[in-house]
Amino acid sequence: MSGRHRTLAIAAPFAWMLAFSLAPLAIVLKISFSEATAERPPYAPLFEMGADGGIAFQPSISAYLLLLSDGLYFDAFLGSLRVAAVSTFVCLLIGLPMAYAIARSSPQRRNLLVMLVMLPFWTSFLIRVYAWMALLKPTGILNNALVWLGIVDEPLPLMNNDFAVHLGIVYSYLPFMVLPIYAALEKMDWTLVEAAADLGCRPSRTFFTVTMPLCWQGMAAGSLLVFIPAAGEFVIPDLLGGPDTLMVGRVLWTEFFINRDWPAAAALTIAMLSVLLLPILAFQHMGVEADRP
Amino acid sequence: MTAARAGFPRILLGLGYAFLYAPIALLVIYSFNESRLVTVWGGFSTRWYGEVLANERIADAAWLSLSIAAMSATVAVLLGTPAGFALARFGRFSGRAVFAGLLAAPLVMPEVITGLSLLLLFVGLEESIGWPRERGMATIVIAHVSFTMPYVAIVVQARLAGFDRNLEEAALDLGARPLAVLRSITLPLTAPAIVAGWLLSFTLSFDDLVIASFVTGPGATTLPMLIFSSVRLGLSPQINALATMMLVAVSLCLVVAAWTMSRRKPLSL
Amino acid sequence: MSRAAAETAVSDARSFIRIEDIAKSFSGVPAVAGVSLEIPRGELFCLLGASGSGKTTLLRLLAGFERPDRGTISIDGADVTAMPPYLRPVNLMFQSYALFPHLSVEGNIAFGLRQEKLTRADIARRVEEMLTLVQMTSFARRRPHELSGGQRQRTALARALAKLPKVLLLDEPLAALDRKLREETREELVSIQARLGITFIVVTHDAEEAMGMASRIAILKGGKLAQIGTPAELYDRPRSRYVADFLGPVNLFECEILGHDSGSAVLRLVDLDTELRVRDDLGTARTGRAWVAVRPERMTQTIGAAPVGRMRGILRAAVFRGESHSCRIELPSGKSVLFTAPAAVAIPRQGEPVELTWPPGAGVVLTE
Repeated sequence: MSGRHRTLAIAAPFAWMLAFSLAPLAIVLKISFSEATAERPPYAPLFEMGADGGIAFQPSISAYLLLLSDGLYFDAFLGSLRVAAVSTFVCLLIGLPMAYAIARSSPQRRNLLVMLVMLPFWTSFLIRVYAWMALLKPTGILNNALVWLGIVDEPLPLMNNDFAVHLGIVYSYLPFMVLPIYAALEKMDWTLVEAAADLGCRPSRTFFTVTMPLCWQGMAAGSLLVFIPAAGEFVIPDLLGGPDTLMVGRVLWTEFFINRDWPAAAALTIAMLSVLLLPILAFQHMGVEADRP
Repeated sequence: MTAARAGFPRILLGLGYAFLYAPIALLVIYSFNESRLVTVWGGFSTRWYGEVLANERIADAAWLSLSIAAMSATVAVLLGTPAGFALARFGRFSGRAVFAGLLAAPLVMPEVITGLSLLLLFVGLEESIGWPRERGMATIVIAHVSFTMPYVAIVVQARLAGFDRNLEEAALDLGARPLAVLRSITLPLTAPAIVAGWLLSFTLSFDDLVIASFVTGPGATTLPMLIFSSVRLGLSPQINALATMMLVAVSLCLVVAAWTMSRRKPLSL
Repeated sequence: MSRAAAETAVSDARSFIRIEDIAKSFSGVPAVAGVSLEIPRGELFCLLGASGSGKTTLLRLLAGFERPDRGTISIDGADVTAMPPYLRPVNLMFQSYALFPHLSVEGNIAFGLRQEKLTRADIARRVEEMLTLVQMTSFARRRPHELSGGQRQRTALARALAKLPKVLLLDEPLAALDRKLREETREELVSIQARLGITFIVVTHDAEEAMGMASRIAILKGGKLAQIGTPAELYDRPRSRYVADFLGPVNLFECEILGHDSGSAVLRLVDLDTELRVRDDLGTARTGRAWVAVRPERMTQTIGAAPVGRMRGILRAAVFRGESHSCRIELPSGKSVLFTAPAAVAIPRQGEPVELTWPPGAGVVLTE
């Protein structure tokens, strides 16, 4: 391919990403330093033409002060990180053995099993969350069954609490954990496991001393793929969570759509990005490492 | 490994699939429930399907979502395919790290952040250059392209990385000019990835609620937005029926896709 | 049959391919550092070198995948240095074969022909010829993933030959084959080359392979030409220790050149502390530290008087090789000397003394 073609092939997607991925974040940063107003759009311009013709730069940190002054925001951050961490861990607990079992099954069955993990991913996210609402409600299928069987006298409080949020996140994001781990295990040289057995290592020990260290990259990628979006999740806490389920994605939504405080929402976004920056960079780094030519 | 030990992960695998599929299966079963109370069985009926099909708001929203998904997927493929090429084939061009980073970010970026930041960009653009006058379909398509294009790039890159880099050189060596190489070697080999990338983008776009909610304007209500506003108020038998129809449509598409892929064996090497 | 053969008279036969002072670096690291070569028409020429010697880069320069930093390449009188690969009268058989996975054997062979303005009938006929040439007629419809390693190799060869290039480049053509198949395929390559008369340039790292097929060999080291010549010239009269060692096992005796006398060098061997005369036609100017190279199979066991370089040592190892024994003795100075004894000859036991020498003309004086 000639130099001109190459440049074009890179320039078009590059320009798009700069314009619609990077530039928006810069604008969020800018608006987070504006004052909230009642106008449309509801924020004050950051630069203002002075009477003398000069441009006045008027940054305001009031939005950030608001975040700091109200404990709600801090609690929402903590809540998000906690929910994301617990859900990621549970995903890992379920996903690792699943990926292992798929990787060890016969090659003909493997493709089908991988398909079955991916299939829910192709169906609507919203519908999958909705399916759990029908199961978990006080008058839902699960409670109806439990009451009918006489296991419980009264419906269990399964929905509108943190339990339901964790469950929903684990359910929705499990494929993102299984697939990268499976991809790592699939590439693995299984004679290593045989070698370990030959050297007197028991299967369970082999799993922890040989298999896991060799697929840690898959585990790390899967964990990041679950943790980061889970921390910013809005739909699941909104539909399955209770009124006291504080997660930052939900607070941001409220701030923006209900309170119409754009600078506060922007500041919240910036704060969220800063908190998630480390995991996001880690993920990017892994991607860049993996695709080194 | 003994049979008993091999059985342990297998049992877990079974439980895992049960966990993944049981809620969906129940959703489908109860879509044929006569009762208005979604979770209490009141006999078999297909009346809710009739109601969904007769509901014009659902039809409008579905059509809008399908159009947006088709357009986004097409643009995402047009931009993402060269991006995948750049990552897989161009070696270390300057700015590669930034490029790869920009492409990796949307894969994990929380949707609320993407949605809010794009909306603020559109508002800012309207303020300064007068475009976009109105938010709606166009802004949703732009937003969807931005977060689906990286998926296309990754799928295409992975496909290309799996192939012998010498193939294109061999074609050049045999007298094919660069454009002929692209047409007769590179594109046929990449085609499955491009198709997969398109389907993936289509699905992601069709499924998106959060980003579309931010960047939409008055009058443009996508299907997920409609479902969400209904689901927020509680369960609805119509939603069960609609969900089942969507599941069947997606499954059919996947079966057809898998079938065509398996018929062209050498391509799935 | 071949177009190349019809044009024989056009250019000077000795410099059908002329490479002049060609150099190529990758991000500052020189891969080829000033190589000049002339290859006559119809030769089966080998570029031999260890990995990193620049042989593959030189091949890619010839194919047109790399542009040289300096120097020129001309083929059959035409300067091709700036010519893109798809216009060069050169085809390459890739080490990986690079068979198009979405095309059948036929489709692969026809690919190059389809790029020219040939009629369908012409293409079909040429494909048929090529299939016959490499004995792949019954596999014409198969896809590459349905072929064995040897069949893939033959398909790749047919594809590269289909356009009857003026020069066929072969990158490690035998490397992916198992040992037995390698022998057969080597013979097949040589016979096809002889039949078509196309100039072959083969890149390989395997000295035995190169000597077994090439009419001439260029040995590359560190991006430069170490020596060029027929296999026998390189094997028997290497000009450096590197070349001597690269082509097979060799004994290198360190020595000091004391002077010259009618075509021979007068030397003192360091390990034996004796003076001797060794034929040396490479100029009398050389003095000082040098080495005498003697192949193990030229060493002979002696009984009684020996003409040159008699040495006594203890037998340390003997390996039976079928037609011969490979033996190693240790001199009193500690130096090991290899020699090959015919299987029919009884060899001493390990630890017993052995006396060795070499006949006049078997030793070569090397100064580098």
